[in-house]
Amino acid sequence: MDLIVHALGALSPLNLALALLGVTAGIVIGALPGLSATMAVAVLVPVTFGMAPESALIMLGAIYTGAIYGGSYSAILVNTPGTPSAIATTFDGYPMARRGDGDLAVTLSTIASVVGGLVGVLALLLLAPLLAQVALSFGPVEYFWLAIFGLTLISALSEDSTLKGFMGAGFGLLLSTVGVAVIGGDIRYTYGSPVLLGGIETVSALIGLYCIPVLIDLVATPAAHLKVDGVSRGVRFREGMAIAIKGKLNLLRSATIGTGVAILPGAGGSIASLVSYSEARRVADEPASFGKGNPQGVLATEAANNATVGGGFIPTLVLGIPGTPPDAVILGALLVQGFRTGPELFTTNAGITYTFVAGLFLATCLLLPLGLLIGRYAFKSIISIPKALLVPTIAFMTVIGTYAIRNSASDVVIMLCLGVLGWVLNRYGFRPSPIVLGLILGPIAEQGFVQGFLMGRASGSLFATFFGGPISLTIIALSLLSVFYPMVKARREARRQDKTINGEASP
Amino acid sequence: MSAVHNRSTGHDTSTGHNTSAAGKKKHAIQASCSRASEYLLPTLFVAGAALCLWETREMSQLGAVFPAVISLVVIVAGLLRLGQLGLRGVVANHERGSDSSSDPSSDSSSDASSDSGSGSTPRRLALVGIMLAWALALPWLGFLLTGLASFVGLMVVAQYRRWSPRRLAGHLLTGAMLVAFFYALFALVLNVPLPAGRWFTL
Repeated sequence: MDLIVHALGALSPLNLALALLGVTAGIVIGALPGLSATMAVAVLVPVTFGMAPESALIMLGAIYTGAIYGGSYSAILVNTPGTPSAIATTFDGYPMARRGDGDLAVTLSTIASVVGGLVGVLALLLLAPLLAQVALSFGPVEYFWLAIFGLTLISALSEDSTLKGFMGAGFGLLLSTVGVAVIGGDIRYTYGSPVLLGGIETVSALIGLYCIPVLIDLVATPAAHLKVDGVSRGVRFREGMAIAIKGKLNLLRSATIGTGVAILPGAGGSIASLVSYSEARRVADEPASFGKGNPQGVLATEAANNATVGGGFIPTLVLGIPGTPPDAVILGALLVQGFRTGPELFTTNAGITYTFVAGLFLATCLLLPLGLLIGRYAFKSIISIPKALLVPTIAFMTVIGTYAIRNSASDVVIMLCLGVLGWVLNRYGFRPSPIVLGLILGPIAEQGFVQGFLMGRASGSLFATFFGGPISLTIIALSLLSVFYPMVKARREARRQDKTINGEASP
Repeated sequence: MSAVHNRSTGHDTSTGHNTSAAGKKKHAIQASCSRASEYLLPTLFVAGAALCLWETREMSQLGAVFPAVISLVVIVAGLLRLGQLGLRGVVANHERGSDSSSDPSSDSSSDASSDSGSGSTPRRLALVGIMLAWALALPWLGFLLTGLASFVGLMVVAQYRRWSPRRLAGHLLTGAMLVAFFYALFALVLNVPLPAGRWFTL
């Protein structure tokens, strides 16, 4: 009963309007190639600072949902993923558009996104309270290991090199120690600068790391002439529904994979959609038709990437450990608001949580009408926004947004410096996600580590404190697995390639 | 892509036989950019982490333990990476370096010589320069003035086609409207005290 009362809170006119606004803004930014969902959230986060926590959460969730979905338009119609999570959508979406089924592909992606999104929200509603129960027994050491697990996972997943991922994560962790220490009160790495005394503000750092590199690369080349393939004839909703119903197992499997991947700390939509795409191809009757315009490919990727929205909120809200990169930004925004995540979100703060879950549900449902309308009528004008307006607008929002967090012009300078540094590092194969996760998880990891250290010293056995508990051991095992699994995999693959010379032909 | 590949082949289990050293040699590491940079970056990370480690000696034990451990991890990761590069060898990423600028304006000669890959380096620098000037001038000149000035500046940096009077007027008008809109949103609706400019209030 309580649940319904709280859920009705999401239906207040303000929250409805915010959800609508968020989804629309998200779709527009997501549809623009080069602007990711993480960036959509980062650029718009400052707008939410003045709001009540539940309204802010609803708006951020709506932006996230819209952006992940919006990425599919460009993937299907111009063969350029609007967001990284839509990369796999180009595999089948674009061939569909080329043979004149672009409108159908957009409809399918809309249906899949709504289904995936709803599965994710359902998982959030059902699994988060369970995880909260477990999380109640977590002590500082467990939180420390969880943070480490998130960092090892994201490092192992960085496409270039695990070791580069580790260096990036370490860099992020060191950045998080700048300023006054959480425990002990040491002043660290400020080099006498009063500006750094308060530490590096997380959200402004995230804005810098995610938005500035994009801006730098946007101005470096002239606007690409994106040609929309295929004439849209209509919405073809009925046809789309028929295909979706035929592929219901595929939809559910992909949405489940998406949710599962998102629950893992740090891994987001791009990984989820690639994994579910390859699973859909593996179990299909005619795997060869994938990549040539099989509608099931579009269903699989889009269901998976939208399921990451709800799934990613599970660890974000319950543990304060971001499930996906956009969640890292949202978590930072919540911290700015002084909103504490944790198991109490399902007890004392249940009102906010359930209102938010209902809002996310609402935003996902709004995708259907909004998505079909924008995909049909507005996509062409969105991708033809001239760079000469896009670049200054985004730049303006990063500056005003960063300034608004602490009313500090120095934060803007720090944001910019980190952005330039992030661009340079990204160029040499150090991705921003490990750095960002390190920055976000730094305080959690340090607090857990130092408290564990104190507890261990008091009880006389450091080893037993850190490696004693069953939960700790499980998390450590998972971390080790995440580091060494790709290595084993790479070796096996190398051997396989040695054996089969025509490795390209076999899937 | 690798995720697809990994997962699709990842169902048979393997205990991992030791691959021969000769097998390793075949799979030289693909650099993200040039070969030298692939060695330079880990070296810089090791140096930076060593500096951070050095500085922990002035902190209390509680404050030092975390940054010290992290610095050590970074140093180890950096050294491992250098070792890996040395053992397996590096190939430069030609795909990235060779792509000469597709940018019709300004100097294309300096682009080809610097190892910045595709795109216009002067424009990149101009963007960073304008944004830095913006951030530094913010407290002095106020939000509205710096906002408008940088908006126009960035507009020029991002524009590749020729300005026709109509396009220029249209862009300027849209820009002014956007700045006004966001200013109103933050200053009036969200109650963020935006700087009015110290020079004007003196």
